[in-house]
Amino acid sequence: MKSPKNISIQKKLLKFILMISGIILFVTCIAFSVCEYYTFRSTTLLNLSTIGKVIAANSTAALAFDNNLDAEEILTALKAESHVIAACLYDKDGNLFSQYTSGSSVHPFPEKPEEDGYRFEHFYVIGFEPVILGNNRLGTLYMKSDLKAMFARFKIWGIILISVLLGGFALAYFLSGILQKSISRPILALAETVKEISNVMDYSMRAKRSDNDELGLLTTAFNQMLTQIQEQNLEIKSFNHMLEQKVIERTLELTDSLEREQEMNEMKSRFVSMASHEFRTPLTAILSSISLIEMYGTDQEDVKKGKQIERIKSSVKNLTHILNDFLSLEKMEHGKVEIENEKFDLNEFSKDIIEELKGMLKQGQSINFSGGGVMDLFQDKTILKNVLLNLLSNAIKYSEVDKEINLLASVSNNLVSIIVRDQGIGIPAGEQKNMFGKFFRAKNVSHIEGTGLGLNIVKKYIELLDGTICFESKHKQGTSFTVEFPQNSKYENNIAY
Amino acid sequence: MKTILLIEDNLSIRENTCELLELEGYKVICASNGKTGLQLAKKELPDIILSDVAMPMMNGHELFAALKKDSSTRDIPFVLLTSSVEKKEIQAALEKGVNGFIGKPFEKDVLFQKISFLLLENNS
Repeated sequence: MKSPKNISIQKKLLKFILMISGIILFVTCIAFSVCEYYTFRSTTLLNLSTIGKVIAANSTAALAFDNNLDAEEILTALKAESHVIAACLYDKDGNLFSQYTSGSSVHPFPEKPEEDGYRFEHFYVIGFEPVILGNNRLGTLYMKSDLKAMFARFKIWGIILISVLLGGFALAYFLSGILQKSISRPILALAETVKEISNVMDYSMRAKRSDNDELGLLTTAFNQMLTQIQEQNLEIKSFNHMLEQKVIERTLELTDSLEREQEMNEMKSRFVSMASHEFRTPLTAILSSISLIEMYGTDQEDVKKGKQIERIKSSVKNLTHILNDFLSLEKMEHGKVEIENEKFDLNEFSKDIIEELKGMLKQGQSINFSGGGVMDLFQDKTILKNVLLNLLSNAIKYSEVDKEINLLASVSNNLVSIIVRDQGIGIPAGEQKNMFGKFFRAKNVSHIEGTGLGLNIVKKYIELLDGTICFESKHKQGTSFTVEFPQNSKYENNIAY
Repeated sequence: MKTILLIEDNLSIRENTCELLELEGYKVICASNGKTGLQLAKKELPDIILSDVAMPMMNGHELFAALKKDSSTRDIPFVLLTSSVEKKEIQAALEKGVNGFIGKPFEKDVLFQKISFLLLENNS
């Protein structure tokens, strides 16, 4: 059996309605029954006493004249009253004077008349009525009546009662079945919606509103709650999305800064090893030259001293060159380079640079220039000179004796293209991608002096000219750098970076 | 007269160091890379070898390893002239049996002392 908590609201409502209507019907019936019982009782007593008074009044003559026959006749008139089953008359001394019994039933009469009045005794009503003439009491009338009439009435009454109970109950059941639906239907609909929402987790669903009563309000409130949940869900989702985005961003930032830091560390260690070697070599030369000058004494030839002084100068120049590289880099990285454009001819310009580099050439090396007609540029001469000096001195440095170096210059569609090609040691394929990195030096040049800054500076210079640089190289066969930039700078003049 | 083999790729340093050692009274043979240095060491059997580390063809460490393989050159004192200040590198080379280190740039007296000490030690 289901406990009341598990019964559906429909059944609960039905049960309550039936219970209440049943109780009300029952209480009403009981009240009516009690009322009817007492009414009938008093009516019965009144009836009997009325009959008694009539019979007593009629019996005065018979008692006064001691006429038994008359008395019997009078009593026999009671036949008309079927519920009176026995009656008798006592004389004034209380002796039985005359008697009457209905049908064949035998009823003992009281020996002496009792107290006047009517009363219920067991299932009968009995009564003693004085027979009075004037002021004299002639005798007493005794009557006994059964309650068959009352019971018959009660029987009918009972049938009506049960019919009313059953009919009322059936009506209540029928009506409540209809009426409770107006309450249970919206609740059930709401419950169904709730169930579906929690199953599918779809907060865009809405419960259907039926009436404008409290249930309608509940439905509206529920729908509002759903809207709020939906909005909150959206908010949570967008917040989550934002958080995820933030996490990704932060991770990227961290990875970036970590990479930057690693790069910086790597650069630092590259710088230390570069500085260690690049500074120590000219310093060693200088110190050894000074030691020699010390040892020469005063009688030594000036030629020897002069040679050592030249060596010191050259080493100092070397150190200055390294420092200048640092300074250029520093300037460019902090945007302090000023562009000073001017008009010049690339042919002449290239030849001057080649002339300047002659002192650096190894035995048998030569730089061959091939240009094309008049090539008037409007560009920063100093920057371009630095670029070409750098590329050409690299070509010299990383080529063996007797190797040829080519410098090719051309202009087409306002684009200047300069190629520096050598037949030198080349760049190992695996290291080519790092060539423009700061302090980077390929493994095959570890014994050759160099800071690892030249190409980094060249690339930055070329970018200042709005140009590009690229190279092709084969290990042990040679390298070819190609520089391209606009013939006429887009900057008017003197623009600081 | 003791013979010193000097191997150094930088011309100025090579010539200057050579001249300093000659002025100090040694006979000096010079080489500009490890490979030539190895040939000269086997041929001339010097009393002491001074070598740079970073050189083309064969560097100082490779040269030392090659010298150790040859019985004729195995016992010649070997000193590295180095630009490196890495303690690990120095430690590793000393463990392999390199007799000394002279850091660049060096004072001539340090160079002379180191050489005379090693020569004396090798003789006894």
